[in-house]
Amino acid sequence: MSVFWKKGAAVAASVGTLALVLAGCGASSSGNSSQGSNGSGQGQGGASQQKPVEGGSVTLDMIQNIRDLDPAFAYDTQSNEVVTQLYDQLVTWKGDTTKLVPMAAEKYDISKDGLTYTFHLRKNMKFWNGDPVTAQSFIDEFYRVLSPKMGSNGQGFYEIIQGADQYAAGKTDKISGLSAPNPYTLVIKLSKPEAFFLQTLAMPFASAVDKKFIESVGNHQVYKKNPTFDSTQAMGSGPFELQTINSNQIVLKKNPNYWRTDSYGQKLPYLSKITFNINNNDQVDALHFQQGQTAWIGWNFGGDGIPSSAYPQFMSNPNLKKLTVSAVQNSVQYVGLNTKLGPTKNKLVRQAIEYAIDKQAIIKLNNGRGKVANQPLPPGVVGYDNNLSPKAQYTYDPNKAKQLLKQAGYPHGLTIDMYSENSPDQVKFDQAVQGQLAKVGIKVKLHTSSWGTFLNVAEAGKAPMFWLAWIQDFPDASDFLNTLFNSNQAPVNNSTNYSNPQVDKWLNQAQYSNDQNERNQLYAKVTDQVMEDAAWVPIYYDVFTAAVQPWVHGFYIPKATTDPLEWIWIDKSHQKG
Amino acid sequence: MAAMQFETPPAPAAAAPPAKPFTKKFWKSVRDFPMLYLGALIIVLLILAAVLAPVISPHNPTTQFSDGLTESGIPVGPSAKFPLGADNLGRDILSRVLYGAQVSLLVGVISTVINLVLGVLVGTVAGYFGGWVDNVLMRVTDIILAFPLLLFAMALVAVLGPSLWNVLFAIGVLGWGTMARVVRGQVLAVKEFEYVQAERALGASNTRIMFRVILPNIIGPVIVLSTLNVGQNILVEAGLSFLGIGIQPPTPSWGNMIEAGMQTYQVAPWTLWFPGLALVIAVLGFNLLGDGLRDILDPRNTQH
Amino acid sequence: MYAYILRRLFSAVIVLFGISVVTFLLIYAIPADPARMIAGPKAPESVVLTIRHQLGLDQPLPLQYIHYVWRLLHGDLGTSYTYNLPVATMIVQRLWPTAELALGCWLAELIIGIPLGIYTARHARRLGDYIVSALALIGISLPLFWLGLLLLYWLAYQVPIFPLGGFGGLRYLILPSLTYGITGAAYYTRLLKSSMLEVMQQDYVRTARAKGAGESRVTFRHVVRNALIPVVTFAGIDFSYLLTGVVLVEATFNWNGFGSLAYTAIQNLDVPVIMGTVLLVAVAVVLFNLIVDILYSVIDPRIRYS
Repeated sequence: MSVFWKKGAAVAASVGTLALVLAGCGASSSGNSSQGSNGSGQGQGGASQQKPVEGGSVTLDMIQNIRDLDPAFAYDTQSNEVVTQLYDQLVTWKGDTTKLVPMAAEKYDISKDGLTYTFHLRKNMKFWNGDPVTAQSFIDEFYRVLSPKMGSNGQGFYEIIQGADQYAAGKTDKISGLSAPNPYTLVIKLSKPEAFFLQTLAMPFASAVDKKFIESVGNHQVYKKNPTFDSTQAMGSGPFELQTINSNQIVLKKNPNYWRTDSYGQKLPYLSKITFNINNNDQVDALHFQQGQTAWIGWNFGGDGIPSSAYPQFMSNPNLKKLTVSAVQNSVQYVGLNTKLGPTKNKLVRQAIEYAIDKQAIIKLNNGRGKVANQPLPPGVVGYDNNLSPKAQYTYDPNKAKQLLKQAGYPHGLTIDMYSENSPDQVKFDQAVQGQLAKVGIKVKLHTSSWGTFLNVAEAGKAPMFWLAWIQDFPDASDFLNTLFNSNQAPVNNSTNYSNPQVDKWLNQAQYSNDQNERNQLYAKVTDQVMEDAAWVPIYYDVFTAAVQPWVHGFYIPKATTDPLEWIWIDKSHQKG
Repeated sequence: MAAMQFETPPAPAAAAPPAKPFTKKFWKSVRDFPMLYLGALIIVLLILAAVLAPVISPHNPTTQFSDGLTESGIPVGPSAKFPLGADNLGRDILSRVLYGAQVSLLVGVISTVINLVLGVLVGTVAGYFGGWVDNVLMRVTDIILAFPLLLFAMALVAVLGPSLWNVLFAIGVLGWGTMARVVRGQVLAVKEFEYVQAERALGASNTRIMFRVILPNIIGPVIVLSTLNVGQNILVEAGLSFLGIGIQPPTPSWGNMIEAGMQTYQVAPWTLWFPGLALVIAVLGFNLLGDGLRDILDPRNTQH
Repeated sequence: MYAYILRRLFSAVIVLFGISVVTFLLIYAIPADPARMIAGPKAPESVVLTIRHQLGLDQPLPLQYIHYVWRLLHGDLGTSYTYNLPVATMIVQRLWPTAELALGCWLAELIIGIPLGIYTARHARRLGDYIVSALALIGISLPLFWLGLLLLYWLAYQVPIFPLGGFGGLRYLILPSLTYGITGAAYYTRLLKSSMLEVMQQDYVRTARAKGAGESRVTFRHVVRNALIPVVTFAGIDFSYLLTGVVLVEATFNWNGFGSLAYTAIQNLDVPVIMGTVLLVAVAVVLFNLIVDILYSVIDPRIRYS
């Protein structure tokens, strides 16, 4: 079989986290390219034995269109995955591990006090239009992400850079912690050490952007100083270029001048073209794969695994079954309950909902794929709370829910608006929740729309109740707890508008602590409090499944939504056109 | 479509045939107008299904049965418990189909009543007064008719927010163009008749002439068109619900059931078959009745 | 005749004006603030105010309407909120797929409908007529999208002859066209039948027959040719049905056309695209009917419209 997938990846992830946390603080550490790009050729694809073949194109189905191609806004899985194909970051993940390797930076040094990060950039990198990628290209993007007017999802991750909080608050127009002593050296100074800062640099927010391009196409009407640009344009330096995008299709074509090479010295990427057809029909997507028209299914750009309506067929048909890969992901599906809007302002109502939702029944609708979730952190992330306080635990108990509703002053029931995207499986889960809540007297009005439209509502904090999932950007509890529950992340990432000063204090303390034990304890306290306050109904932790054609090689499921499409290659016999 | 078939005013009703025993008469008329009676039968059954849904449904249409799904989460097929199988959430399809009749009838009939009121009003006034009144009203009708009903209703429902009443309202308010045109044509012809002229000579008011004298004389085509209209409006509602802009879950509508079936027909084809079949039969019922009524009320159309 | 054409043109202009008013008002009825949609949910209120001012959304309605029409006349249908592309460009991109589909659907209607119409007229009140008429009635009663799904189930899934939807060459066109053809053909069948039966009573047909012309010759040389006139007129009315049907056909077959553009725009409340598509469809219907009417009055001067 030509599909490689490392089992037990979830365990590897947690070990990796520890190592990184230790490396990131205290002792000075550095990375360089010898272990990075050169060594990654074979390693990336999960140790493929064959020599990769260049050429050919693949077609894939996508349930929903992507939301945004601007790296400053690409924080949903779909946009994130596309943006990482189009843009280069300073560092990236090695294959399906959680080990960071240099990328645009040839090597980097971290000072002993953990405050100064020095990146030595590659000299031969160019944007598609020929403009050179320099240290300034990264600094430009930090200015955009941190701009007070932009409202980028990434703002919170980089306010730790010296002077960034002042800039983000609109008090200064300079970030003192960012400098470029020469065009190929980038120095980032932090205001205090942060265990996982380097990991945040693998996110799309820290991409190299071409300021000239953005200024020529950007939306100057809205953002005079830091223009945004829309989802029809991109100018990166990544392995793939954006050829076309419209409401039904996205086409990426190979960047022939990409700097990266594999261990054989072949240039990346291998594929010359990738076509994504947007097709919000599970059946058809599954059939396209079965008929051999698509290269894989259930993975990429927000794919939630093989659609539930087709999954049993994949399992019962031996020919299909052997093409499937599956893994526990560090991700959680949840129903968010807005703490500032609608009837869910009332904690008792939120707790009633916790008791009213039958998570097992929802997992069954997903063909049993998934593990019941009891807290925001997935078990694979260090900091997972094995000893939840009794107050933070809920079991399925409709009677208890009714009782709480009565207590909350709703003896005759109430109506709540719930928002979600409109993929077929999502709509099915929504209706399951709707049916379960109806049993306790809560009438749920569903508002389903395309992914982007839905996120616009949720991320404005305007959805009283919504269904979302969270997949780790980097393997640290802070990516879940701080990003999703710190009041300074509301409403963009913390879309339930959860705000508890005590929790904020714990989160901030954990954010900058170097003692992993202390952090774990703090995160356990946060978890208990958040669950007691019932801002979320964690539904399940994903067990992820995809299926890959036998003629596709180099496939692996990344840990942090940075899909390595540049490593994918296909058999010569399947290359047409 | 039906607009073209009423270019001529109806002939006076045929004289009553000589009295015969009732049953014999009944069967003869069934033989003469099989479509009419088949359509009426279907509609009666449809009404019964809608009215009696709470009584005859084996289950609550929104209950999600865990044994309605197999272990791997796929709908179970027809069985004793679920005579027409279960849907993607383990709900009983038979019960949902029966309750779906309520939505279809409600939307079909009420939206047609709105079409009828608006269409007759506009058509009668335009045809009767003629001149600039006619001109203005007919241009408004042209505007309404220029927007394809489904597309316009989609936009309007999106504006108002999808719900049963908004769907009903949108179809009702946008779908009266054909009725107005037909009625106007009929009025134009009838108003020249002697008895209308006589009423006018006697000094009857315009309102009286329009609604007491002319209207009863054009009621035939209006009934026929309305009957056909109910079927068409049921289809529009189903189309809207199929596109997700109509009746919202958990309320069962044949359209949103077909939409759900679209995602599961490969593993559970019954999720697609039965709601669609119900829809076809219902629409067929109104089309049969409409055509049958035309045979009786508008015999010139079926002279051949 | 020229007077008629002039009158017809004038009323078309009035109707077009009405259509522009209706579509213009749609934007105000839609409960989404355009300025907010453009700025994005995260932009501060001051930015939204700026945009509102720049777009003139703070001006009185009649003034805004004048600006709107002015832009329309310059081919500017606005910019999509979702894709930030000119609506006109987006529509133009989708015109060809939809034109292809509409043509396919229409041809399917004619190919199925006209032979059956001739057949039923020639076999009126015989068994074949009853069977075809019953089938026609069922065809009219079939929901497009359901029939489409059944055809997909049978002919693309169970027996994979055709692709599972999508836009491409002729292979992709057959199932959607067939779906529409089956549901729409009945109108042509019925119309042609009644029109032929009427023509058959005409003197010149009787004469032809009396002169000893063969039945087929009479049917095709005299009857069908004359009976087709109302059928051609119906194509004008059918055009509007076709544009509605195309929305459903495109949704069922994942056809990358105008209908799915309108449909996704409605789902996303992408107001300029909704306005643009609705407006364009309405204008197309008006112009198409205008052309048909004018041609008809040229061909057949007896036409008198009151």
